[in-house]
Amino acid sequence: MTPLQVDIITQALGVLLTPENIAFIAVGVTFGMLAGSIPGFTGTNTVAIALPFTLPMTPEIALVTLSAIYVGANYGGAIPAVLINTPGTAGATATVLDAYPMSQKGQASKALGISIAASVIGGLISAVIILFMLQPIGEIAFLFTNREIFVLGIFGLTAVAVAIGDNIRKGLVAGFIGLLIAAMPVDPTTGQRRLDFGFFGLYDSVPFVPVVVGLFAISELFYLINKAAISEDNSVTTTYRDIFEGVKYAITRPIAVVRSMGIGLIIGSMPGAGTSVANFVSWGAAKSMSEKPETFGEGNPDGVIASEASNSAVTAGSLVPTLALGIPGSGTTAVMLAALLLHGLRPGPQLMQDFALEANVIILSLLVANIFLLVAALAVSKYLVRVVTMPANLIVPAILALTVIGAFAMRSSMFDVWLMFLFGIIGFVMRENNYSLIPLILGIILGPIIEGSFLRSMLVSGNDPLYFFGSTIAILLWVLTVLALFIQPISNVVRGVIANRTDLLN
Amino acid sequence: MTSTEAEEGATNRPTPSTSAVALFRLAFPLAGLVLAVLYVESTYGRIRLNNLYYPYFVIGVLGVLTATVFATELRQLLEYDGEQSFVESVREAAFEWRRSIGFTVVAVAYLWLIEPLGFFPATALGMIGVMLVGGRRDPLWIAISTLLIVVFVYVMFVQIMGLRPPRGVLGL
Repeated sequence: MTPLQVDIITQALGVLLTPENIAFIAVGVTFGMLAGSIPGFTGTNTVAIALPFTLPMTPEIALVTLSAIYVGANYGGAIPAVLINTPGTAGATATVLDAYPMSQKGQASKALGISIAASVIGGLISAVIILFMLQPIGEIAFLFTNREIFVLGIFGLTAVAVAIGDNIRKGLVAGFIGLLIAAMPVDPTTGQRRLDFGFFGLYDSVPFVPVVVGLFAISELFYLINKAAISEDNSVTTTYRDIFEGVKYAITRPIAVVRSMGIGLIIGSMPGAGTSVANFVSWGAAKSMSEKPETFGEGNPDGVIASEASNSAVTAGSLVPTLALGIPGSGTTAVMLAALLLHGLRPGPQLMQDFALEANVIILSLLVANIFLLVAALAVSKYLVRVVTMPANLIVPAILALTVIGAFAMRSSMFDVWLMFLFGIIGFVMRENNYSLIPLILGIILGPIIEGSFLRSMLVSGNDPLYFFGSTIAILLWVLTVLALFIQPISNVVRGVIANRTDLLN
Repeated sequence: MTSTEAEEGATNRPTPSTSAVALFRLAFPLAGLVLAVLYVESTYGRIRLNNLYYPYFVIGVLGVLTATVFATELRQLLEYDGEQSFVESVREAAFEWRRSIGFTVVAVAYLWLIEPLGFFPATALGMIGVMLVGGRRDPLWIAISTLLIVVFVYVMFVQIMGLRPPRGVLGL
C-alpha cells in the first residue's frame, strides 16, 4: 500500500467518522434491514425509495446513507428467509434452503445468529479487501466481455442445477425451463414480441420478484395452512444465548466464511451478476466441499453461512465495477450510480484520480455499517423469532397480504400479483415432485443476461460460434461447466473403485 | 389413534391409481414441453433465424433433458401398482389437501376482488376467509389480527413508501 493510499484512507476516515455521518449510517442500516425483511421489497427498491430523500444532503452523507441502506437491506432479506421460508431479497434465496429447515427444527434463533455473524464478517472482510483492491479488481472485471459473461451464466446455472437437489436432470430441466421463460418477452435486439400470451406485463421482461416470492412464499403457504405452526417444536426458546450460539458457530467456521466471502466478492465484481447468482454459487460450492453434502437443504448451518457471507460480500464487490468502471454491479448499485451522478461524482476509470476521497469514504462506510448491522440485528432478532411459534392460521393470511402488496409494489400492477400466485402453484407442484426451485429461479434471473450477452457476442463475431471459445477465460469456464456436469458420476466411479480395492486389500 | 396405528393406517391405505400418479409426476416437464411448442409456433417464420439461435438452443436442450426425465418416470411407473381408480385417487387427494384447496379458492377470490372492491376491503375479506379455512373460529382473534395486518400494510406501504394500491368502487 502506497503512502498516498494510506493518506487518502486516513482522510476518508476523518470525513466519515463524524456524529452526523454515524447517525445517518445507523438510521440507514435499520431502515434497510426492516425494509429488506419485507418479502417483495428488494434492496433496489429500498435504495431507490431513499434516493430522493438524499438530494438535500451533501454527496458524502448521501452516499454513506445509501450504502448503509444497501448493507441493511442485504441482511434484512435473511430474516423472513429464516422465519417463514420467504427470501426478503433475491440475495437471501439460497439462505432459505437451510435456514428455514433449521427454524422448523426449533433452531430459528441459532439460524438468525449464524446469518447475522456471517453477514457481518463477510461484509467487513470484503470491505477491507475492496479498499485495497478497488483498482486492480476493476481491471480484471474489465476483461469480462459479453462472451465471458455468457459462458459464466451457463456455468453458474449448470453448477447450481447439479449441486442442488438429488437429481441432476430434474435440476437442469428446471433451469432450462427458467431460461425459456426468461426468453418469452420481446426480442432484445429487434423488439419483436415472442411469447407473452398478450399480457403487457410480460412485454418487457419477466419480473423476477413476484416469481421468487411466489415460488418460495406462496408455495409454502399450501403446506403451512395444514400445520399448527412453522416450528413443530412448541418449546422453541428465544434467548440471546441461542442467537449467540449461532454467532459463535459462524465464527468457528472461518474457512467457510472466507470462501463464501471470496465467491461473493468475485461474482459481485462482475457487472450484472449480483447477489442472486453469488449466494447460489456459494451454497453449491459449500455443499460440494462438505463432508456431508446430503445434509445441505435439510438444515445444515454451513448452508446459511455460505449464502449470507457471499451476499454480504457482493455489497462491496458490486461497488467495484460501479465505481471503477461506471457499470453497475447489481440492480441496487445501478440506483447508487444514479445517486453518484446526481451528486456530481462521475464513476469510471477516472474516479480514483478525481474522486479518490469520496470513493474511499463509500467503501469505509460499509465497514461502519456492518458494525451497526451487528448491533441492530442482534437487538431485533430475539423478538422476531417468536414468529415461528405463532399459529399458522394467523401467519398464513398475514404472509399472503404482505406478499400481495409486495408483488404489487414493484410495478403497481395486479398482473405481477397473479403471476406470483401462478408461480406459487408451480412451486407447489415442483416441490411435490422433487424438482428444486432454485435452478428455475436462476434461469429466469440469468436468462436476460445470458441471452443479451449471446446476441451481442454473435453481433461482434459475425455469427461465428467459435467466438465463444476464443479466450482463455471462456475456455476455462467451459471446462468448469463440463466438469460440473460430470464430476458427480466420475467421483461415484472413483469412490467405487477405491472401495473395491480397499475390500480386496482387507 | 396412536402413532403406530396411524402409520399402519397409512401403509395399509390402497395406493393411488397409476394414471393419477403419472399425471401429477409428469405435469411439470410436460408444461415445459408445451411452452416450448408454443414458443416455436409463435416465433418461427416471424423472427429472423439469427435471433432464434439462443431460444431454440434452450428448447433443444430442454427437449433432450425432458425426454430422459420422461423415460425415467415412465420406467418407474411401469413398476408401480396402483390399486385405486383415477376418480378415487383424485377424491382422496382432494380430501387430504382440502385445506390447501380451500386456501387456493379463497386466495383466488381475494385477488379477483382487489380491483373491484379495493385492496384494503379485499384484504380484510381475504384474511378472514383464510383464517376460517385454517381452522380459526374465534371472532375476536380474527378481527384483531385482520385489523393489525391491514393497519401495518397501510402505514408501511401507503404512508411511508407512498404506494397506491387499487382503490375499487368504495374508494378504499
